[in-house]
Amino acid sequence: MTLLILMGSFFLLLIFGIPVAFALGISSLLTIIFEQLPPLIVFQRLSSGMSIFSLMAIPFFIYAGELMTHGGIANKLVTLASKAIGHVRGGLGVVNVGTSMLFGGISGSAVADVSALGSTLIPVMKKKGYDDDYSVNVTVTSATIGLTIPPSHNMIIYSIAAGGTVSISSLFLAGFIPGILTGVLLMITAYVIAVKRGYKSEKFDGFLPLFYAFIGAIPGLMTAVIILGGVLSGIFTATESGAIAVIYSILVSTFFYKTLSWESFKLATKNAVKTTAMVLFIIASASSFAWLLALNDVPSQLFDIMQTISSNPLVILLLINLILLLLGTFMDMSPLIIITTPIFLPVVVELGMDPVQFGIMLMLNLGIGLVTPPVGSVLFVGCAVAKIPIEQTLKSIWPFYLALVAALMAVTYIPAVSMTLPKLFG
Amino acid sequence: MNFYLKFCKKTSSLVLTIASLGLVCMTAIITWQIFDRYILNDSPNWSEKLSIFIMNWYVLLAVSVGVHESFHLGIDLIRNKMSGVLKKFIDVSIYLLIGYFACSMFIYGIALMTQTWTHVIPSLGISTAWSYLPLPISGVLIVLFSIEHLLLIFTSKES
Repeated sequence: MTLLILMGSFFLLLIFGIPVAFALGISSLLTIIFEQLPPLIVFQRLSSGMSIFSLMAIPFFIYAGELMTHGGIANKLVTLASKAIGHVRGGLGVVNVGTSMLFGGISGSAVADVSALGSTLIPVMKKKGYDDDYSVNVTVTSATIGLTIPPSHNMIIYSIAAGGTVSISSLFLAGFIPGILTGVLLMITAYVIAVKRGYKSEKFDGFLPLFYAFIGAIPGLMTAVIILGGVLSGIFTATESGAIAVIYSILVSTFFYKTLSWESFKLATKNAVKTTAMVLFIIASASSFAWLLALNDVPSQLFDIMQTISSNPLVILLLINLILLLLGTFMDMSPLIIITTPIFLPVVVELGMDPVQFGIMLMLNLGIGLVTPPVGSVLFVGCAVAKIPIEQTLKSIWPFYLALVAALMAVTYIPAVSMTLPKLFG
Repeated sequence: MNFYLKFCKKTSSLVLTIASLGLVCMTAIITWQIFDRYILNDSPNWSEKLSIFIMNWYVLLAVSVGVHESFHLGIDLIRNKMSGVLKKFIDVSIYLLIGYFACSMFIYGIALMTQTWTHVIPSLGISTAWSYLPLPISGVLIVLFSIEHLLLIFTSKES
């Protein structure tokens, strides 16, 4: 009964358009009142769910991403990718994926990725004769690569949701190969469709411009190096690396690129404040929701149910993936990480899966949810940038979904894809 | 009413500025922490607690700005399909429910403060109650901005 109230009120509120964070909070509040527990627990959980030091890496990553977007670093990466791979057939599609791999690695946020790169690349693709649906499909699906290529703030949320038992540096290491794999699969898809539709290629400018583009992009690429280097070597915590990345982005865009004015600094700061407030408020209210799920023994009940459906680990993993994909179609990534990790992590650990591998699986899986309707923030932003209706992209997006699902299956069933690097360096 | 709308706009932009200062301070404190550890060989014990304290404040304050600017993520699909009285009814319910949650934030935020008044945050030397203060403040602000939306819904012409 308690569970029915919690889940029922949550979904009802969500469907009628109450913001996710409030829907999570209100349904937790109703449930607590129904159970005759003191309602102040909800707000204590809300506050303590936010008071975690490693969570502070998220505002810093987002802040650094905003500064780089407003400071012009994103443009340098587009130039680099187009000079390097623009001359292949359907070049700009492939360039788009390549840029996402570079920029996603830095910003670690799919929405930031699609709004920064989409607004630069989609108009260019339009001008060169690419169809709108193709441009949007490539941009939005490749934006999800940023979730797996480190640094990724969603990995930090996962590490916290897993009770701090999964190290952030192992997750970062584990994300590299799956991220590159996803990128390569998407590049192949982009190429094949480009050939089919007869898109032309750019001409190769030669190695000198490529070299210059590379030099121009180095200061931008260094941001990722700083965060990764700091975390992987253990010199800095993820939070400290984030703060350094913010300071570094300010310095580089002010003194090196000379593109960051006082006005754009203020704009970047305000945008970062808004985005982090939204993300952290969702995380905070999701943590009181997740606490209620645990209190009502949902994780172990679900485990029993799954055991009765099948004892085959391969089937159970497939089932978990399907549930997550379904949830991902209408819910956002960060609350799902907080809510589903305590439920599914014990199940997969029981099946012998490493928590690190599960984390990467979660990133890829929920990443697909960001580009699927009815709710897909990345898909929405992409369509908004290109000014086309969502229906138009959906007719031709399936090959890209296929590439993402193929990568997800590889990570789910082949431990070596994600676990090779953490085992080598961990 | 125009006065009220203007007041909300001013308040929201002031709150956003304060929250932005919070983010900048947080960056400065953590940078200082690193500097302190590697250059001065001294690990400050207050920096983590203080930055978490600031994060609590600025996030909760900015959450209210999110209600004013309606930037909190939600599913608009069904709401956008509605029209006329039904849409108005749903919109009103949404802001009433958000207002209800904000009132609870205020009431139980105050309750948390009175309960923890005598507790002290280690290494900061101030009462734990201060870290719960943004709950009631943000609660009041959200109620303020929910009323703003309700006013706008009731005065808007049918489109």
